[in-house]
Amino acid sequence: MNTELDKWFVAEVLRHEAALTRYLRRVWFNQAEVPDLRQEIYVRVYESASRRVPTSARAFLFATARNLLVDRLRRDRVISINYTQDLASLNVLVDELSPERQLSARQELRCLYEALNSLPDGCREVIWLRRVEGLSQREVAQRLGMNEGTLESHLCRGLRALAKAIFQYDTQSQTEPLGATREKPHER
Amino acid sequence: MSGSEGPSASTKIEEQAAHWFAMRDRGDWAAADQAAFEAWLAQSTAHRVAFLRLDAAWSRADRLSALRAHSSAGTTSPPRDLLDAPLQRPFVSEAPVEQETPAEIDHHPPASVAAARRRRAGTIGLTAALTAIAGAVLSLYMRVPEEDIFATPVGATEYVHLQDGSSVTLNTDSKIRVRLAKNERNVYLERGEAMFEVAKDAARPFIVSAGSAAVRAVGTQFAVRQSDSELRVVVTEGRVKFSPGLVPGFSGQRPSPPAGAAALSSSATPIELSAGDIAREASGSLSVSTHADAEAQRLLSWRQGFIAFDNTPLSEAVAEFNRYNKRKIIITDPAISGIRVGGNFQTNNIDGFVWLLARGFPVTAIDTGAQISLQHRD
Repeated sequence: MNTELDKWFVAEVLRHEAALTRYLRRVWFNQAEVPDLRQEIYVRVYESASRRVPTSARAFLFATARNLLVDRLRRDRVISINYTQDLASLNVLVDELSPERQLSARQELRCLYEALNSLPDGCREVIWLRRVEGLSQREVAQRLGMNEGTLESHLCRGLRALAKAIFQYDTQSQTEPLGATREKPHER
Repeated sequence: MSGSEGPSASTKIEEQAAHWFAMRDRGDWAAADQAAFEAWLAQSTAHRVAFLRLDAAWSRADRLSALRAHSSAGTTSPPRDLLDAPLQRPFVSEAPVEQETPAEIDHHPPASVAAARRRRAGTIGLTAALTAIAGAVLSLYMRVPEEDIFATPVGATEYVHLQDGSSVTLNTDSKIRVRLAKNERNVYLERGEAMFEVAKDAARPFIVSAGSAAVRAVGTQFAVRQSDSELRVVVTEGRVKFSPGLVPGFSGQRPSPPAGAAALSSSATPIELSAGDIAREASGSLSVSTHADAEAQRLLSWRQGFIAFDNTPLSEAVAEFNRYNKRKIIITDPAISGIRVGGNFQTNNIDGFVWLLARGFPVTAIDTGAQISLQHRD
């Protein structure tokens, strides 16, 4: 764990997760598949970087994303033209995508805080005591009168929510890149 | 085509990664655990990246310690308490959502709708000289509700707020007339397709008429589409009562009501439709599919800017594209009309559709700019 490659992946690739997710949501019709696609893209990027680390992680990430989507379309089209997407719209230049933003410390804290607050009580308490108060898992379990299994499931759930908040933090005010010509009807 | 059942592959891996993380974090991590963990990591790059992601998130969550200063050490659950603490205000207070009053919304419709919209009042001579508000007051006194007209050009969709809190999404090339009376809300669909989200008001039924058919709702969501050959009602929430227009056995063909007002006063027995139901009325016959939620969603994908086909004859798919585009597709060879196609397309992506068609089927496309004709390829 924590090889140079791992560090590179965390520092250079994961920081673009919000932009990548936004891109996938925009070009891929089936929204439910976005997390799987993203993971597959990460795998390709990581494996490719293990042979040679690309100079621009961001450009490489988006090129990989595009290639993966095109592969998917080709594969699926063999059966029918099902699943099709707008091939042209995949050709989104990296620059077109909204520029990444380094979150200020305060913004990041706020987004973590909101993620934490959205968790159910037990789960939130476990994360707070373990991560912030620095109690061990055993101490947390004692404090909250929980068995270890419950504690672990709270910890797992909380961790995943935090990751989602950190990496998918999406600045709402971003203008949509080219292609989104139509105002999406408001949904309730 | 992965089904919607069960968590996705990436979710499962993330769950495993979180489990490994929690195990390692427990404090009794042994050499054997480490070996098992490394074996899991080595199994697949997907495992590795999922774990890296969670691990990085956990490290970055150390920022939360900044909140610790604001809470008394050792408390179990400060975060939620902090919500109310004055110190934490900056973290929770959001800019207030702008809330327009219904009256304001009514007087500021979306720009493109405004152009297509004109107001009529019961007494034209008088109201023309009055302000909109005075006109509204006057018509209230005279009990003649004013009529609003909304329309979209080919290729556009519009979202419209109505004064009663309901909303309408108009699909391409569609036109409605709206009259909100004291005891009834009437919408007349002149052409095209519209999706309604009806604000609940039991005392004022919401009635959508098209031709001589009508749909009556109290508070629900449904879409009505009128084409040359068919009238279609899709219900996505709640229940509606549907009175078909042309079905034999009903009161026969009635004249189009002027503003949809009288449509339901006919003797036709209405059919009750609930969420997931689709009713189709075509050339005098009526069919209803119940619990067709997936189909209902497919038929309404235009709201996201897509057209979805599922085993759809090419002739129908082409007609659907032509609804949204000025540039038309023409099938010059009937032999290919019956080809079944499936897939999702942006409504304006004719080129993508034609390209895929030519790749996947024995079809040649001839593009003259203004139109594209499809022929059989030998």
